[in-house]
Amino acid sequence: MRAGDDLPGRDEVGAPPACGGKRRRMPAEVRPELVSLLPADRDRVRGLLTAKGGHCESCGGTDFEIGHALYLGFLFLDEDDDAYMVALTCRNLECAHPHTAIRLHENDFLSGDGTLARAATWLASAPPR
Amino acid sequence: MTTTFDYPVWLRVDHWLNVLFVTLIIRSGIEILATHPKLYWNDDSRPGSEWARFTRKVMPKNKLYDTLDEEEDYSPFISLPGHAQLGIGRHWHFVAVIGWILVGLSYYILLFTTGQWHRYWPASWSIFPEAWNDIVTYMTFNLPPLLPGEPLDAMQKLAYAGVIFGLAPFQILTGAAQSPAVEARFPWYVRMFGGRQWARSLHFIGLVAFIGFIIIHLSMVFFWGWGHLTAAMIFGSIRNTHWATALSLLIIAAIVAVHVAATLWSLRNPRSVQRVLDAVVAVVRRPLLRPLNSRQHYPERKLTAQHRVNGKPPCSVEYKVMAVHNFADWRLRVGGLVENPVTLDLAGLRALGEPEMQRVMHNCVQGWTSIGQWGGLHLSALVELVRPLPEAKYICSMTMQDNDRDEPSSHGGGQFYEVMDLELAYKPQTILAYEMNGKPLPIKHGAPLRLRVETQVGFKMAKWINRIEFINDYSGIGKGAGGWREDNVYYAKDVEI
Amino acid sequence: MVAVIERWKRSRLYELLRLKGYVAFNLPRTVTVLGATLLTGIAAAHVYVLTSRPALPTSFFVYTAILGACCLLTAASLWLGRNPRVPQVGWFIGDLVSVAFLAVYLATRAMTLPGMVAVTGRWDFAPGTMAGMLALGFIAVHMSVLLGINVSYPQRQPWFD
Repeated sequence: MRAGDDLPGRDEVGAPPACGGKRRRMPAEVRPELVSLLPADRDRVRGLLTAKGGHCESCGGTDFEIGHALYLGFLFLDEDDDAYMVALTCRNLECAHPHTAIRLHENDFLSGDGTLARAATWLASAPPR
Repeated sequence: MTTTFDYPVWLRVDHWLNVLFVTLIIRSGIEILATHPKLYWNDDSRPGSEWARFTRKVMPKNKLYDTLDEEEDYSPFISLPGHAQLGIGRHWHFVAVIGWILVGLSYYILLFTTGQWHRYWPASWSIFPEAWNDIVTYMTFNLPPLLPGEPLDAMQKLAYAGVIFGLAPFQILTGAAQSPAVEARFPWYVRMFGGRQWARSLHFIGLVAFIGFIIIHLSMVFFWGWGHLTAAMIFGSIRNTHWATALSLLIIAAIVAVHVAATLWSLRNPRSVQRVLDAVVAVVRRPLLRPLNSRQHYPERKLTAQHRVNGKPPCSVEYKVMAVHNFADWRLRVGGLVENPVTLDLAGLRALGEPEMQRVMHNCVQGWTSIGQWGGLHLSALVELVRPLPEAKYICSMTMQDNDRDEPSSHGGGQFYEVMDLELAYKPQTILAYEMNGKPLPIKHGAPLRLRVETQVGFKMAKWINRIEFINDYSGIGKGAGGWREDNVYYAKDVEI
Repeated sequence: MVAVIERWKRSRLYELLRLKGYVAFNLPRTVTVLGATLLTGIAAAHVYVLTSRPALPTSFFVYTAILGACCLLTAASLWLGRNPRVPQVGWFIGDLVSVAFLAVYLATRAMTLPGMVAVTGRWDFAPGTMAGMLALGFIAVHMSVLLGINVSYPQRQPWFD
């Protein structure tokens, strides 16, 4: 994908384009830049964690709850164009610092189109219409 | 009383002082323009909607860019001091404006008390057909007749009246409309010009008009007789025209020397320029503008679709992990000279009071504006919680942004921080904002917490805050100028204009 | 032709004339109004001379009619934006009209034409100076469009930032 070409323009605000009634990845209600992942996306993240031997830096645990995703490529200069951060919460109740995350490329875990996830970062300040 | 239109000494002195101040204002004004070399007719400063641009830079489409990236670097030959030194440019601009207004006031007072204002103000409507006849005469490559008993022809009289009684006050009025304190307290005043960006664009058109006037004025003096006219403006009468020519060139050389000295001083020792000139400007700024309080209530339909930004979010892993967890792990440490230092998370901060919501215009120091809705805690609520000690005079907001890492377009490195006077915490619409446009504060606008101080220019409103300190002396923080931009770009600490 | 244009665009003079790209305006309608006004002004100046000076020969009348028609038709064509090529060609025709007028005007400063003593062979002729300024102004405005400093209707600057 060429950057900027097929994405909702930064001067276009309002509802994301309709996608025929399929389940779609929505901006999270917690904050506008975060997107909720589909179950299939979460499964892929879990698979990648297992494959990479991911573990909690605080307690060493390997069981995580997979949260929202944040597209990094637009907001942060030091990130690749297709970089995302996915929230991980260590399921160990004794863990002192359960919140961590994993950096992934779009094609690694997102099934389908990353358009909305990307647009969420630059439409985050759009006023209500 | 019949006034003799001679050249009294005050008129001559004011004329040459005017040359000095107007040229300083023009060069420093171009420096200010360089920091956001785009002009708009809309208060959103919507990217791509500008009607004029004075830059070759093209911004990326796929990455966040800010208005620091858009700054231009102009030569010191056209801007004072040049080389993208906005802070210094602003100091020269405001000092020169103060000087120019004082000269102008003396001129007005003396013009009207001596009756000399008749030399500029037309006595009858016949001036217009006479001026047209003058234009026709100029187009035959001849000089038209002077008005009877006057040192000017009709066209010149109209032109001087236009500049002295029209263009000059117009520039002052459109300049004042660009003060955030004036705009915040009197939004109707700015609306009178069509909006903040209209005022800025009109101010630029006024600059072009002044430059046009200067070119035509110098041509007229040349064609009518440089020696004669400079004799009148130096000696008060037409005599010793060769000496007058020499002296006029000497005066111009002296004015050029002042410009050169100002430029060299600014580029070689900007810190001293900042200190000296801001001390002068503060004498006027403080009593006139500090008492103003923000009373902005823009309607929802005026909210900017894509509010511009300055500064880039912290690129640290910690910040990104906090962000993806909705800043659940973010803490605000409030301490320093207080009785009750606290550490708050977002929920704790929200619990301190009902959020205040305000729809206001953001006035960036670079000149662009956007209108946004901000929601958060009034800063005075936090102040009352921590109970500053009697010696506390300032509030220092420290942020998670590191300019070495996060902002390649910045003029220096290090942690971003800003210092403001404690009294500003009690002003209306001074809030710690955690919401924007009805949603949690976006990352590019300072998530999870930023400051809003609506009578100040935008750079005072620190973003990505994680620490607030109450202090009595900021000289030991950073480079001691009262903020990161003050340290590195030599802005004033107090920026009601 | 394309190669010539490419070389011209790489030349130093081109860079200097376009102020190295540091100045640009996005005022297509204003520029087009200005261009049309300048052309109309040339026509108006000639009509003024015709009506204010009796006993000018028929040749001047014919010259004014042709020049005036060219100016006004060209000015109108600048607004026919449905096909962008039409106003583009219109601007070039405006240049031709302006240059043609300037050539005639300058040539008739050097010589006095029979029956037109009052309007030829002299420089101190205000309507002529005015029309000359308008013609030079039109060429300058069109140059600014060709250099990218300005745009004319129906074009817009491709700015997004």
